[in-house]
Amino acid sequence: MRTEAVRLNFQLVVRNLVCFLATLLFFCAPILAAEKYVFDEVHSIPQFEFNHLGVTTQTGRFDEAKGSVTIDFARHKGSVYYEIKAASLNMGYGTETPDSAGYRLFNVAVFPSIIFKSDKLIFSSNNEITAARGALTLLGVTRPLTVSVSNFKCATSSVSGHKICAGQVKATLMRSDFGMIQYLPGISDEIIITVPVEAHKE
Amino acid sequence: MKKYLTLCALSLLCSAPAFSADTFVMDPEYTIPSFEVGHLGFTTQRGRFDKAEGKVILDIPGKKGSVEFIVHTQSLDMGSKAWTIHVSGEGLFDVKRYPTMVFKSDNLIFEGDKVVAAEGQFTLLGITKPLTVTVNHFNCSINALVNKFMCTGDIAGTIKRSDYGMVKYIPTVSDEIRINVPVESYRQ
Repeated sequence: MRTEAVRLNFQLVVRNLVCFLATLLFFCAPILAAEKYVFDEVHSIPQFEFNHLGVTTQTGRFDEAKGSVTIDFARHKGSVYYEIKAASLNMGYGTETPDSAGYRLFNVAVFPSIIFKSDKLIFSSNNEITAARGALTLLGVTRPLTVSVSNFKCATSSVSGHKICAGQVKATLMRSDFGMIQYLPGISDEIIITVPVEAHKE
Repeated sequence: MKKYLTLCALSLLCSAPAFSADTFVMDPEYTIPSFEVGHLGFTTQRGRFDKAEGKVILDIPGKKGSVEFIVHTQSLDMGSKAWTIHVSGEGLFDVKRYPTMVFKSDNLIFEGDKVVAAEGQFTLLGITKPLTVTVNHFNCSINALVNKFMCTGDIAGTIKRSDYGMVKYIPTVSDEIRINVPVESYRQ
């Protein structure tokens, strides 16, 4: 009788264990494979730099952008989607108008979004993302663009308690490659884009 | 005759500084100060003041000059409204109590005929401390678009905000703040 009970108990334990392992695999496998992080929009504001009249370095900013990154640390894979709202252009002069130089340059009425997509994240040997190879769509023209990532770091935020992956993203492009040729060379062809990215684990 | 000579002497005295030194007024559209801070040890975040004004007195042959630059703190623009309100508040820029930040210098440093730095005083939150800023890409030329003589440069400086009593959120938000100001100024 007692032996029977032990046997049943043992069977139960095994069954539970198998069940537990199966559940673990089922639920955890996708999480282990790839994690999705959504950009904190307040702390991931894109800025661009250009040379003005050959004399000063001026900056402009887009106040609204959204994005996410999927990272598979184990297999060193991942992807990024980042979309900037062109009409959120903010040069600091006050509100942009449909007639302002900035809105005309970005042809905001016709091309409401600037989009960067990458499905090729580059990792260092210590699991840091160092670059993303992808394509930028600006004024409806899509061109390859590789952005560098510095200071990549994942940690738990001391403020929110969320897991955050963050980095400083930088890219250089020639705006004429995208057909943006107005005001050359008074506003330089070369544009440097910098985006601090803080992304929260979903 | 004596009176005439006195007048002559006076007019020389008065006009002499005008000949040797020119006054340049900063173009507010292309002289927008921004700053960088470290955030949570993760990223470098930026903020900007959209309204600032200033003038420079430059005596290039005499290698002398002075600067006064006033930043209107209520023009703070972080890109997000909520964040702007937060950073404008008490403990940080406290813009209601301290509506301006001021940099003054009467010691411009020259290398040849180029300004490379300015030694002066910076006032933030009512506290004044010495500050030397570097001037990169200093250049004087005629802006052909408006046919005016301009002197320009990219200004960079670093402060520790705790020196000015701005200690809130250190070290979550870094003590060190880097300041960048492109300056385009026109001769009057």
